[in-house]
Amino acid sequence: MALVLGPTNQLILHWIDFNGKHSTTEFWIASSEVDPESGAALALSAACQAVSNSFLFNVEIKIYAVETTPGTPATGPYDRSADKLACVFRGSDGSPVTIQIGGPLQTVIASNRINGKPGAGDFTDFVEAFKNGALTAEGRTIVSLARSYRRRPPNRRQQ
Amino acid sequence: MALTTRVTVCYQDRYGYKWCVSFHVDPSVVDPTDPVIVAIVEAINLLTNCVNISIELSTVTAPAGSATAAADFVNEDKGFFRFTDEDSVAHSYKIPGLKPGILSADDETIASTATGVPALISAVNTYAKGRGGADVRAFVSAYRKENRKVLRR
Repeated sequence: MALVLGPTNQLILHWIDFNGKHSTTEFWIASSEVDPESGAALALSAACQAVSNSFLFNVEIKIYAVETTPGTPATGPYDRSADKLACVFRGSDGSPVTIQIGGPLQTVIASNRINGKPGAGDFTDFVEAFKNGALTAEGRTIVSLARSYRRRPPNRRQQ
Repeated sequence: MALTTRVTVCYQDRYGYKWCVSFHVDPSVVDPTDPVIVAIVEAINLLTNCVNISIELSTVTAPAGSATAAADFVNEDKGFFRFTDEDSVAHSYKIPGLKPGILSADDETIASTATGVPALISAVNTYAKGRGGADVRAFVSAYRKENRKVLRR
């Protein structure tokens, strides 16, 4: 991987008024500003809140990076983005975490063409990397892969 | 601080279509090149025919409170603040639900000396940048801007 970071980060202020209507304000800030509770985010959000009757309910910072040498996509029986390998993990609180990988390699699909093949070496490595690094949305650890299966793309039009 | 940092990784297939996958990592991870993220992305790369083209991280905080009830202006009413950066490129920021106290007597113009406005101008001039990193430096003007939708019958 060869990632180049964006020159700036995006600060997004999420507002809600007393009718429940959502609105946003966006700023670009220095790439070193990564904490939504301090620095530029704190100063700008406090200054904006001071001139608004709406409520600033969420302060978000987005950080961007681009792959400079992405390479060439491969060909295969499931090489479209619409072909998905769905992987359902379990968090330590039992909650499901599903991620879908587009254009899966044939080597990680079982011979019945329906299920994933967790025994495949690269699939095993992915499951371990995900369990070691990823969390549930609530911040719990990921403990196991519950199941994996191929999702076929929606019906194609008649050619 | 957020419970997690959300990571969105985008891929492209050989037909030009894109897809993205999102997952959460520890909130201390705020660098796309962090080993935790790289390990997961490189593992995904080995499962797919597609190629990774970009990574986006999102970290959030949620202040406690609520909107002022029965305020004069709702979110469709914006305070429109115009600035220029060091290259004289224009930047504008719309802040919704503006307080009526910052409006001048004409109910349209926002005075740069009204309560809270000098602090806002100072914060923007100090911290805001253009997309490419040019510093926003000068306040130009501010006024009220409505974007009310027509009510349909």
